[in-house]
Amino acid sequence: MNKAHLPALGRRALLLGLGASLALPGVRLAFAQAPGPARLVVVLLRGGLDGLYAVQPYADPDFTELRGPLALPEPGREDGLLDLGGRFGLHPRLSCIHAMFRENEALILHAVAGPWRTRSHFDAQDLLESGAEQRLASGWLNRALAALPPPPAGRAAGLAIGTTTPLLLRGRARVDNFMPRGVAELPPDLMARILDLNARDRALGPSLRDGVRARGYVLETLGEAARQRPAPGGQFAVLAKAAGQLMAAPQGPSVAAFELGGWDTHAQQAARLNAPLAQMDEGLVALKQALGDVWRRTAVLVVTEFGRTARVNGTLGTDHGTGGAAFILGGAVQGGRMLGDWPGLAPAKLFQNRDLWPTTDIRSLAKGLLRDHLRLPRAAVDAAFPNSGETAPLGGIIRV
Amino acid sequence: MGQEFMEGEQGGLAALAWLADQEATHRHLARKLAIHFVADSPPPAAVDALFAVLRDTRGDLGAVARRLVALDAAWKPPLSKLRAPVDYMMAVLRALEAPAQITAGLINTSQFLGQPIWNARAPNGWPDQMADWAAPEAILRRVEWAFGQAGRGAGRDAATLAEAVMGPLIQPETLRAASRAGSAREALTLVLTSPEFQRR
Repeated sequence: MNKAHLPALGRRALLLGLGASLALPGVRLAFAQAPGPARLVVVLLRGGLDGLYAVQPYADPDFTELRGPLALPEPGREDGLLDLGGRFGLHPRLSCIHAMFRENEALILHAVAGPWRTRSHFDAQDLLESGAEQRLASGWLNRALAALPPPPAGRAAGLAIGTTTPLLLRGRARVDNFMPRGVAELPPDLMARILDLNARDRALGPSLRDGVRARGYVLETLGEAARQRPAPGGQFAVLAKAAGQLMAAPQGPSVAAFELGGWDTHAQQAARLNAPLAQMDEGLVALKQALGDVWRRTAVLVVTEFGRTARVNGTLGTDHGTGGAAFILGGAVQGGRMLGDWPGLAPAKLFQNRDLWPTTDIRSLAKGLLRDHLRLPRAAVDAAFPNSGETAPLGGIIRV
Repeated sequence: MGQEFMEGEQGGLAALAWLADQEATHRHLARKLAIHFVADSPPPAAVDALFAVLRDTRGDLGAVARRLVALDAAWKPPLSKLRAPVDYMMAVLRALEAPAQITAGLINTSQFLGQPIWNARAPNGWPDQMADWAAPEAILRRVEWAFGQAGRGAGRDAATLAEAVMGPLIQPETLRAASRAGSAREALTLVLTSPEFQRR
């Protein structure tokens, strides 16, 4: 059900209906008052996800011409988009997220960006994780942790899944770091770049090629022949499942973060994004399954450092841009809706005549989650996002 | 060889001294040194230069080491010697300024990378040719390990690090690849797995 696109009367009726059901204690319990503390997961998509590709505004009059080969068939057609209520459609590789959307557990936001306007991955990721307009020594999620009730002795309130703790979770609050076994594999896209860089070397070039082939790395980014084959959820699903299992434990961490790369698609984007999109989809459903009942009191924020250019470049890819898409998933989320003011894609509406114009500050999503999901007091939300007074927390993300 | 030596320790020492003073020994040693420090197939001129020092000093290892350092061929890019796994491990850790505590795990790392510390194959010791170290799985493991380590360098600029550890040896392709990487960690991984970083 997609409330944002219902006629006004329908939406109103729905709200009234929802209000009525909230009055019933049983319903309310099932909806919101899941016993136990809230869980917040942040997934960083490093490399700059093309929001216009993952969440396509197929009803926008300028979309098809602007995106050409990157505009997928409309919903209902063969290999078409998965409809999000008549104006937007999800990439078909995101079918599990689409199922969550239909179950009102996924909120999808468009034309989102941070307050920065850098096109450098490194700077933008640092700022996304700092939660500020300049790089800080700690991450916003760590600062938020400081305001939570202290975890049981010997436990950490936060958990970084992976080989390292991202800046997002670095800071004064204690954060555990957990790396499931067997996930040291490189992202296929990085492996492809390393192969390229070593191709000219007479010893390392052939060795790496043979080694990759022998290991059965995901080949679609590495060779023409296998381009269309989807990748298994692989490493990311392992990380997501581990995060879910750990957070589902009675005294598990309240907050966790992990990441997925492979989004920096300057060339051959349609082929190159199949694998990371499928990984993201399978990973997030693995997280949901691993959380079990705890999913009901979980919200998952999925963000990237920036969107990509609105126009397709000469190598069938897109370059570093500005506005993009973000996802908030979970049993605690009042989902089934698209949010954000759609700026349109007419040339005059593009930021610097090249990017989707950002209309929602990414910090408002995070602030909304800290306030309404983790129930942090205002001072704590402000401490997590310093100097963000003009960016109000986004309301209505969480079921009430 | 027409030589006779006494029995016992004195005889053994005398035999070693005699062997150390032979031209064939000097030539063999010069070649070994050139292979290890210059190239898998070193230029004959480099071997000759080292041999001449050993011959003239009657086997002075200090003198030959000084000559080795002064050899142009030992420094001239592109460097051709592939770093053996332990060399590679040390180079990565030094480049990332890894903390001292990391040494505890390095015995395992050396094994994972294919050169277990203190366990060289007897009697020949570690091989010294690129082909011996460039097996596909071995190189892949380096890459994976380097990716894991690159996480330590988060926040560090890959181009600055490349300049600091490789200076003029860094190739423009590597800097370009690093500048286009999707994250700081991926940029560092590209520098640490570039052909020139894997050479010495």
